[in-house]
Amino acid sequence: MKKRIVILLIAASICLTGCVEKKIVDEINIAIAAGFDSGDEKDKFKTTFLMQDFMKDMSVQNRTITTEGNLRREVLSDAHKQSPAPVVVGGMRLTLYEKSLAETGLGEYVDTYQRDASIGTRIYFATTEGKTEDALKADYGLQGNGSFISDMIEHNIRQGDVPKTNLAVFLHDYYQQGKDVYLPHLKKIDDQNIDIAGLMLFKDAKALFVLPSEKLFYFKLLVDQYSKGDFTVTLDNSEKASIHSIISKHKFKIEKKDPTHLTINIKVKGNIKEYTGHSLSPSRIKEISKELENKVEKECYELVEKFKEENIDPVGFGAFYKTKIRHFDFEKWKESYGDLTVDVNCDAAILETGAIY
Amino acid sequence: MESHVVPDSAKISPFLVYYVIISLQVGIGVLSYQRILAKQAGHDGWISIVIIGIVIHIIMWMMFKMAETAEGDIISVHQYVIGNMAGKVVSFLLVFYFMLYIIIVLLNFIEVIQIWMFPDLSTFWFSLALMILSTYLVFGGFRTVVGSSFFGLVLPAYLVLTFVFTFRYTDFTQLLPIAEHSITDLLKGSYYMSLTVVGFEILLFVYPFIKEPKKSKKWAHLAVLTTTVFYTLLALISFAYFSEAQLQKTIWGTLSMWQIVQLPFVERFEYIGVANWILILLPNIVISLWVASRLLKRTTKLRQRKGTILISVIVVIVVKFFDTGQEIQALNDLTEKIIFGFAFVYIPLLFFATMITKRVKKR
Repeated sequence: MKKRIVILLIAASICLTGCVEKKIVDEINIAIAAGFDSGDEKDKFKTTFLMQDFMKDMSVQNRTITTEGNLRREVLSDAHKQSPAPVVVGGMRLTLYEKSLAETGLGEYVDTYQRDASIGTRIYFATTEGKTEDALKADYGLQGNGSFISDMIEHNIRQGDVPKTNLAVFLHDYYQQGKDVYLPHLKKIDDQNIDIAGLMLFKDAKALFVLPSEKLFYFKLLVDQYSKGDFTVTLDNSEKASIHSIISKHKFKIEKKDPTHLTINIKVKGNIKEYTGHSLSPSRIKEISKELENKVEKECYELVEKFKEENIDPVGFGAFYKTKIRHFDFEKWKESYGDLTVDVNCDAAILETGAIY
Repeated sequence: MESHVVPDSAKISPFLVYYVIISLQVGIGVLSYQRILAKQAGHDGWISIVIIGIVIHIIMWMMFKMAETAEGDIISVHQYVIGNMAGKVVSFLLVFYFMLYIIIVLLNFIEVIQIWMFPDLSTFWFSLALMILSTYLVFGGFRTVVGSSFFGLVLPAYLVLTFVFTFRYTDFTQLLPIAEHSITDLLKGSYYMSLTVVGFEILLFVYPFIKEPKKSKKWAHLAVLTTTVFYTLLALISFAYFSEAQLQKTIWGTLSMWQIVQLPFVERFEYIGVANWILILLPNIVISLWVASRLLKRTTKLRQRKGTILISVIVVIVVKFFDTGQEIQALNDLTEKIIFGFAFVYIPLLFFATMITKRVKKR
C-alpha cells in the first residue's frame, strides 16, 4: 500500500513539472532597463527596453528595442515582436522617464510596477533631461548601460549626495499623505558619459523642477538619517576645506505653544579631506566647523523656503506632523502650509583631519 | 463512554504541543494579514493583534479546563454536556470545519503561486499532489503528523531573518501616535485577525494524545505567546516599511517586503520564500486532515484510513470549482465568519455549558 502511494506521488510530481511554463535563462531576453518617452502622437508614449547580451569574451553588448503604445503592458507585447526570445521584466534594475513625460505625472506608471509581482522593488526610477532612448542607446562602460547607470545611482546613494531612492521608497512616498516624491535626474553628456545632474522634485507625482546637484547634500541632510556626503566650505580668508560627512542626523521638533513653528536640528560629523590653507590649528578647525554650521543652516533654510514657495513637501513635514498630532487634518495642513516657519540648527563636529597636521 | 483510549505508544511528549499549535496557527494568513489590519485600525493595527493574543490565552485556559473535566477531546466534551448521540452529531459537523480549513489553505496558497511565480500552475494537479502527500503523512499516524509540524516550523524558521533586509527602509515613527484609533476599530481589526491566528483550538482535538497533559499547559500557552509576538513584530515592521495608504493596497504585505531582499546568489527572494512556505503550510493541511478523519472515525464507524482518503478526494474536487480571485475572496470572508464563530464564540459558550453541567452532575 505504502509503496503504491509513493509511486503515485512521484508520478504526480512528474506531471506537475510539466504543468508550468519553463523559463530558461538562455532562452529569454532579460530587460535590464526601460525608458519611457512621450510619443509623437498624443496619449501615446514610446518605450525603450534595454537588453544585455553577454559575449564570449566576457564583454556586454547593449541592445535596445523601442516600441510605441498607450498601455504599459501593450508595449511589452509589442517588444516581443521585435525580439528573438520573450522579453521578461523580472531582472529589471532601472526605469527612466523623460522629463516632459514626468511632467504629465507618473501616477499611471506606478500601477504596472506594483501590480506585476515579478518586478522587484529595488529597481531605480530616474528622470532624464533628454529622450530616454538616447540615454539608453549609448556606450558607457564595459558592464553595459543598464548596470552602469544603476550602479552609478547606487554608489551615489551609499557614499554620495543622492538621497535614498528606489521603487520601494518611491511607492512609500507616493502613497504617503503629506510627502511628495523625488527622483534622481540624469543628463547624458555624450555617447560615453552620463551624470546625475540633480534631483527632480515632484508635486502630486508630476515633475516640477530640478534641484541642482550642489544642493543635494543639504537636501539629503533633511530627508535621510545617517547619510554620507561631501561638501566644501570657504573661510573668510578664501581658504577652502573639503569635508566628508560620515554621519548625519536630523530631528524635527514642533514648538508646543505655536505648532506652525518647526525646529530642525541637524547633527553632522565629518572628516576634513582637503585644506588649502597652511596648517589646521584647533582654532582653525573650530572656524571650519562654525562655517559648516552656518552654511548648512542657511542652505537648509533656503531649501525649505523654496519648497513652501512651490507648495511641495518632499521632506515630509506633513507626514511628520501626522505622527505628532492626534487626528491630524491634512486639508487644514495643506491650507496652512505656507504659514509654517522653520528654524534650522546645525551642530557640526570635525572628527579627524587626515594623516597630516 | 466508548473506547477512545489512546495507547501510550501513540502519545506525544508534552513539549511537542508547542510545535503543533504554532505550526497550525502560522499558515496562509501571515502572508497577507497586514492589509486588512491597516484598513481597520490604521497604524494601530498591532494593538489588535495583542488584544486577540490575550483573548486566545483565556480561551486556551478554558479549553484545558473543559478537557480536564470531560477527560478527553471535544467529542467527549460534547457527550459530557449534551449526551452521547447529540454529542456525536454536533462533533460530526466539525469535520466540515476542518475540511473548509484545508480548502482555504490550498486555494490561497495556489493563488499566491499563480500570481507570484507560475501563472499557469494547474490548481487541480497541485492540490492533488499536495493531498496525496498529506494523506500519506496521515497514514503514518499521529506521531508522524506531529513530526511534520516540527519540521514545518524548524526548517523555514530562517525566513524570519530575511525581514532584517527591510530595516534600511523602515521608519518606526510612522507608528506614532499610538492608540489614535477608537477601541471599536481595534476590535474590528482583531476580528479580521481571526483567520490568521486560528489553530490554537487544535488542543481540544489532540488532548487525549498528550502524555501527562497537565505538563503541556505551559507549552500550549508559550506557543500562543510565540505566535502573538511574531505576528506583532511582523506587523510593526510592515507598518514601518509601508506607508498606510500603500499597505491598504498591498494584498500580500509579507511577500511584498521580500521584494527588497538582496542576496548575491538570488535576484528575487520571493521565489525562495513562496517555495519554502509550503513547508509551513503542509502541517496546516496534515493536522487538519488528521483531525477531520479522526472525527469521522469517532462519530461514524468509518475507518480512519478510508476517512482520510474520502476527505482528500472531496477537498480536491471542491478546490477545482474555484477559479477567480473574487470567488476565493468570497470564500475567505465566509470562512472568517465561521472560524470566528467557532473559535471565539462557540468554544467559550461550550466552556460555560461544561462548567454548569459539572455543577449539576455534582449535585
